[in-house]
Amino acid sequence: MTTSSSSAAPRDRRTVTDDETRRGGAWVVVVAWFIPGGGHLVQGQVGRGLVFFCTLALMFALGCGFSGRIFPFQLSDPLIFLAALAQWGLGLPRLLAAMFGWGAGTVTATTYEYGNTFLITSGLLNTLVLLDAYDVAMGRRSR
Amino acid sequence: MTSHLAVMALFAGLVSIVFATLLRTGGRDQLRLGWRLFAALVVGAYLVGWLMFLAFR
Repeated sequence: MTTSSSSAAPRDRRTVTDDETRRGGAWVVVVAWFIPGGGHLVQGQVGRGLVFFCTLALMFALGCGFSGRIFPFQLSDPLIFLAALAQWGLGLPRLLAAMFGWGAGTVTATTYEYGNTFLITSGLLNTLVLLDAYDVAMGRRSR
Repeated sequence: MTSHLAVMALFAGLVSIVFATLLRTGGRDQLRLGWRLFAALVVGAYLVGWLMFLAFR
């Protein structure tokens, strides 16, 4: 009897900790998606967070500067749909682009395809950064 | 900026920075992996470009 009650207490404590960790992980995912490198910043990895923020924000800005296009969710063309999905991997910059009309996309520009590549890749890279931040939050990766 | 090589190098540099920071923890390890990735991306793109040129000319 004594054994069961003593073993139940640590189990309960562990469940609460797991829930908190999961909640913390979800919060980190939201921050990491919205602000590039934000997931690492909130976990105290300031250096890595700043590197991700500067690099990914620069990639997105260069993509817009190179006359790349911000793609809409267009189900009739699967490639455009996938490109839009990839670009939404970067939360805040993509939202700002939608608000201020950046990334109109000049097809005749020499750098149009480069711009698209920069925009799409920055979103995909932020998805990887987001997964890394989640792993750190869940304790699967060292800080 | 309309130099294809410069834009490609810029792209390779930025991607290398992100991957090196993501996959390594120590500064020296990050630098080493970053340079390797950068070289692999630039040399690889250059080789593929030449192969495509030779194959489809």
